[in-house]
Amino acid sequence: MTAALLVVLILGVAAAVSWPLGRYLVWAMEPPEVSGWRARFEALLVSVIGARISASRSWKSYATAMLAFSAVAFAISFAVLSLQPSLPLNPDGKGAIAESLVFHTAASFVSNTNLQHYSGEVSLSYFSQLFGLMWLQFVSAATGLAALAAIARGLAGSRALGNFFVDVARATFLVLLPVAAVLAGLLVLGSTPMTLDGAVHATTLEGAEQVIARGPVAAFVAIKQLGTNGGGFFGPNSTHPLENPTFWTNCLSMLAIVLLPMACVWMFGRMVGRWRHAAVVFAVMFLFLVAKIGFAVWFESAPTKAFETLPIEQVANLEGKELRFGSTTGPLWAVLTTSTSNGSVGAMHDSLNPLAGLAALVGMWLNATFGGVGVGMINMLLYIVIAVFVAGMLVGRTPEYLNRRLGAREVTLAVLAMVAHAAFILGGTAVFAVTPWGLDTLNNTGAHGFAEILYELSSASANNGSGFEGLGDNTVAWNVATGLIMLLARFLPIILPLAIVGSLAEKQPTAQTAGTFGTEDATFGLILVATIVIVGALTFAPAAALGPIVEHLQFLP
Amino acid sequence: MTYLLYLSLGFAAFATLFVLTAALDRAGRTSQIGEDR
Repeated sequence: MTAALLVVLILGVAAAVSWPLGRYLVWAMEPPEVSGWRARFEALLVSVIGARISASRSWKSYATAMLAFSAVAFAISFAVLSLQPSLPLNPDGKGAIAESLVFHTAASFVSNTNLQHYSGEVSLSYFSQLFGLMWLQFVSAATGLAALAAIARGLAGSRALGNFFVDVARATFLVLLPVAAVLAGLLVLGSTPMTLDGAVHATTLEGAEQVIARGPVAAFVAIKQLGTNGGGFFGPNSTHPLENPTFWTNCLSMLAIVLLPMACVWMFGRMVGRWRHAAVVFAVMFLFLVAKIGFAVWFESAPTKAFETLPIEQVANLEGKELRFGSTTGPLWAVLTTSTSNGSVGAMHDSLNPLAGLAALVGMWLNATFGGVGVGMINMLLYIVIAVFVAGMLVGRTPEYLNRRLGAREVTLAVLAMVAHAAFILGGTAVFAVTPWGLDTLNNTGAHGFAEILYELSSASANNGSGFEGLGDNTVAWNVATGLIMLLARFLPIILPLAIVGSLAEKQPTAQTAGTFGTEDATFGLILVATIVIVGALTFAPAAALGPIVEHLQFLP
Repeated sequence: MTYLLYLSLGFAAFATLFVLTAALDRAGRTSQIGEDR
């Protein structure tokens, strides 16, 4: 009963707040008419960026600007991390970081993944945390929001998709900074540390010396959750008592994980002028989210097999859980964080029962329910393109989406984006599961070891960033492979949909007739659900069978 | 020296994406001409 109440509380509040927040996002990203301070803000953007550079652009120019901006951001982050010992704000004297880890970390944060092969409190100075990583948590999330705004403009009928730099500035200064400031304030009220002083040296009751790491944690946690970044200030992420001190901060964090991805759906619907279509998409995403949560919570209610022979009371799987917040938080957080490309953790995912772990994997494989800030809705657009095309062909309706006819080119591009995601995960797993690159880094063998490799590559390709752990992943092979995958898997699913929209924008709009395939009713919702299930199952079921499913079956009497 | 090698690796990934964007744009223009005809 308490478990259900917690789920209803988090999802209910997030869904309710996402509606007005969606309206705010439209105001921020696509202001209808500006006056007063907003007009001065827009004028300031143009004067800072330059009138010529800030002009509205085609899809290709938009994508090129995004890549150029991200490449420069990557180089800055790389430089800050490489030069750490020589830079200020290093009260605890953190040393140099290994070259491959610098590459991996810069790629991880510029791609909004935040997959961490280091522990922040051990390896990074405050300067590296703030100026090497935290600003990327803002601009990488802003990049996702900007890309969605551009795609929505194109689908609304505009050939010019807007300007990337203007959009990133709007998303950063009007959305992420103010909302993160409010959340950081609430987290400080919940006892999350916010200081630039060094670690505390304390003497325990036994007389031992203890070093307690701290820092500007509240600011870091706020944007890590809101921007679906997920990178923790401390190595254990939100299982660390100073990163997530109370039940209050725990609930705030879970709300923040899903808030902006949900609001992005409403923003998209308003920008394309089809809020009913957005409502259907929202309902489909919500359905998948609830199903995954129910699945994970149900399978976590069984005791872990590791404790089965011990002379203790057999209750729900409590291994690896933060029990201060109740046993439901672990699987609930695991599903929220993997469904939204967030990647922060509130429990040890390696300790989840096999099928609860599968629910987390499914979130990253689909990556669209609700997905990351901006990119979750973009990923869902790929499923929508395929659903409209296939269903239209099956029933003899014209495959049209938002008054534009879908052709072979658009469907090919959508499939390419999906195949790339699957190839990174399945191809990478195939390589690491049979070579010393992966086998030498495992702490478990058999199906669970396979699941650890599968999870790491799924996390990288979905730009999620959570770790199954149990894997010694700070090696050159893992750093290079997942670093490259994170960069390619971040931008391919943005570039390809931008190309789809560019292609659709060139076509003549078609009139809505009785032969048009509707996208605003329950039938479309069901077709979209079926498409997601079929595409997802066909792609990933064999890998799931080799990992979590066979592990579950091994434990059956 | 090794740091520069890894920095180049990142830039190589971005270069690949730039090339892909240009290729998609070119392919799009070609298919558009085909449809117009």
